[in-house]
Amino acid sequence: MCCAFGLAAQQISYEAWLDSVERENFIAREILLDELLFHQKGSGITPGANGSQASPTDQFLHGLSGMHMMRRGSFANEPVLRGLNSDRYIISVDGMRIFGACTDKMDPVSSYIETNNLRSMDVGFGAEDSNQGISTGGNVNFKLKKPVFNADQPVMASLGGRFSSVSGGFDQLADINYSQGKLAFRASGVHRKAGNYTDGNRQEVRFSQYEKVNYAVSLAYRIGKDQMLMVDFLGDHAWDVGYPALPMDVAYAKANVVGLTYILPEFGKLTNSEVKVYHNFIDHAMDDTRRDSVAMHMDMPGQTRTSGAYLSAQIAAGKGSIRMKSDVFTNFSHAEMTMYANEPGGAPMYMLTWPDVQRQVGGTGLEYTQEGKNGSVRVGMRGEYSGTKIKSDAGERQLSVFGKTGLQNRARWLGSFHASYDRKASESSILIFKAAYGERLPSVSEQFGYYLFNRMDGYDYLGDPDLKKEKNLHLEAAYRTDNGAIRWKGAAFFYYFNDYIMGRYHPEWQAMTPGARGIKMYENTPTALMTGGEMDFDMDLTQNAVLFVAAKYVFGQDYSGMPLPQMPPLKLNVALDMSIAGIQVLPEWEGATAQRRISSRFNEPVTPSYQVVNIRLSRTFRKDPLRYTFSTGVENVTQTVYREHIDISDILRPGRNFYLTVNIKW
Amino acid sequence: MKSLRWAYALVGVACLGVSCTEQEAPKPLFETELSEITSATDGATTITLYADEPFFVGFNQVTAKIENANGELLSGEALVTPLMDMMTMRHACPMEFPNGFQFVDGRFEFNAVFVMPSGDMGNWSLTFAVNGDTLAVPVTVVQPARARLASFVSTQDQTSKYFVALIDPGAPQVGENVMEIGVFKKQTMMDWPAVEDLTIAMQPWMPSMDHGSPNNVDPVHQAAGHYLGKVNFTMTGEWQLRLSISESGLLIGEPLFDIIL
Repeated sequence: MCCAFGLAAQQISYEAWLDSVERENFIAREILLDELLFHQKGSGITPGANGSQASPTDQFLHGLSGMHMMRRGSFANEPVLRGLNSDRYIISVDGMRIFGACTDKMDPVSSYIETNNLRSMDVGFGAEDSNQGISTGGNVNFKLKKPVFNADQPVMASLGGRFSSVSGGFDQLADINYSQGKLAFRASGVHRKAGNYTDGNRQEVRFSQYEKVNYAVSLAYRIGKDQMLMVDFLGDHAWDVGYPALPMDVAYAKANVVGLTYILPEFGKLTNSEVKVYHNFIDHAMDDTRRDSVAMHMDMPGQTRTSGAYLSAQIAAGKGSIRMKSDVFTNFSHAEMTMYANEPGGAPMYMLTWPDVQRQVGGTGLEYTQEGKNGSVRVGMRGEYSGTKIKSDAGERQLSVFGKTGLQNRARWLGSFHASYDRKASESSILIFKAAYGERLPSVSEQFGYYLFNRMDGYDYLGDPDLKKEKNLHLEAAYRTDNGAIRWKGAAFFYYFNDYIMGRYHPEWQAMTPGARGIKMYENTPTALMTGGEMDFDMDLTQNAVLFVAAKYVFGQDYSGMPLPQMPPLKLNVALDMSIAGIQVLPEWEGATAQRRISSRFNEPVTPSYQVVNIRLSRTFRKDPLRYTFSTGVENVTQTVYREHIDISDILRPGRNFYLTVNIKW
Repeated sequence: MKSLRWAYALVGVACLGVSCTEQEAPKPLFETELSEITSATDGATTITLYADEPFFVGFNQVTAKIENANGELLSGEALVTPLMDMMTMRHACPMEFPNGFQFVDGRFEFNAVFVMPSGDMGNWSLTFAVNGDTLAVPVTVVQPARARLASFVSTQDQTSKYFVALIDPGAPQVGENVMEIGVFKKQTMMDWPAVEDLTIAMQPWMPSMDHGSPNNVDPVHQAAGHYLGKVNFTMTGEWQLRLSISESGLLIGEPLFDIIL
């Protein structure tokens, strides 16, 4: 928040801005996208993750520390935090809670964000952060780009394009910033269109095409010396999106997000105060009309609507300071399925897959930070009340099939607590110890989902309205060092879950979806444990060459000692970032070990190891007032045939890809 | 609702002759909840029949209003005999008198399980014997769009003919439904007794998708050939209610009902 203000209120130096970010870094890792921070050393971003603004968000997220991307096709990959999927972590945009509207998770919230309107993101793991809400898996907050007040250059603009050979994809993007007096304005737009890509076997992956536009408008108005009123609008519209890993595609996915923010850097004893109200609406429709053979045609539309508000501020307290945030939101989820019998004249088959679920949540979090000479202490807690009920009589009747009811309000109190202690181990290194406890509500699918087919294990899933909260006890130790030429940081975590929510097979019930193996109902399994870690290392080899090495690994075990499904194996990224005659040359190597710890309950296949090599070149020319950046490269140079373990189904990742991006900045 | 009424009727029978202390629910006026189906008079007695809907092949709950020539509601004793006159032969159908044969305030209730529709084959009549007076009321029975009565011949003896009336769900809904069937046997042309000793397995089935639904309760005999269970429909569409009926441990028939919701 302080950063948003810092950027907007005046043109403070990026360095100072960075410093303010750095202080928060160990709290929730803020990852900045601005090209000024391209290959930021010690950031935990593998260089390939950066690319240019023309790269899709997924490609950027793919390289982040502790994050993997679950693929269902080439569009809208689902971020996975230390092996935990989006049911378990909180995802928000500028602090606004948003929920995807697809029961099959075809539209993770990250799919509605584009890199050219994304300024930075906060990533918190496990239960360590209490500011976004309570969860067991962590949180991701995408921060949108804000209008910049710049008296020296009232108009700033950029244009870009990207071509990818592997899918014949062609993207165009543009943005403009205008400021005058107390008013600043920013608009950006992206259009992306891709055909089917080819995999490492040179086989066309059918139904992997997509097309989308994304548009964002922000308006900032300065009030008085330092206060500011800001309106943000974000729209995203994708259509004709193929999901080769799934039995259905998407006819359209639309998001409309609007937020109104008031920023008061100084208000009595409060600092960095921010008040926000917001609303968003997501409209999504699955489609199978293009598939060659479907057992029967189905329509599966879904919608979510979320409205909320929050108030956040900071106050000095003793030797430290307290950050507080109070927030409320209400979220409505509706999804339905209509199947059409093959016999003409047959009655359509209709069910509510999300039976009009209304969830209301209000909470307050406090976090105390005190910095000393040899380290710092941070302690936080959050309490949250939530009420969930279904608003549809038809949905209520569906539940009666399982002897359940949903019309009454299901109220839950949630609490979280976290503490961390940073200790200077030497002049250039610190040791960090964390302990945290978090809880989460079942997701709408886990609580009220109705015959949701999961392509991964082939079962239809049913929610259980009476699920208990899932709890996570999170312990972590981390180490960071920066001695000038060598920087590395490592973290090892341990999660111990109680009432871990997982589907259990019910052989006595029959599958609904044609071809499904059976029915699983979500239930609270007694325990689960996960452990693993991340390591990011970079080193200046010469003045013009930096070596990056990053590793991440997750181990998960369920209550019965069996492996948890979809656990990413050890993954390594190595990159050498060189500057040769003004050209940035960046060879990259990515590899993962085989995953043999598989969950037989989820019918997981063993995934073989793989290695992929990319080569990237980039060059920037300045010709005042313009700056041109040309980037080109080859991804998957060796035509490796591979998939990552967490990918849904056996669809392979893309084969060799030549790309070219152009950016012109004014 | 119908099953509740049936249960209520049984309680009513139990209360007959003894002082029934339980407050009786007020009975609806004839016209308010029910539709008039037909009326007949012989000058001395007038009988008007009411039901939820026109008589159909299946289980019909009927309320009769019995008046004298002056329009006064009668009390006393009544008996109803159904008859299908097919010229060459005549037969009756299963009948139930859940409240017995006594009636007060002109209101007499009975259930008729018509086993075929009126038409070119023949016509139905209900003959009332009221306090010694006899009056035949011609009625029209239609074949409903969706069958609510199934019949089968025992696969064991190859001769006994059984009739299964689907009483509930009358208006099936997605979710849990009370399921009630009545099973009767054609003993002779005029004798159609209830069958009380059957074991019935029930499976709702969606033929177009080839799946059933979970957590159903097989119908179990309650009284007078009525079997009560629970059936779940997980979605709208075309369903079948598949029954497997056994007598003395041997499967005698597998009737089914088509259900659209």
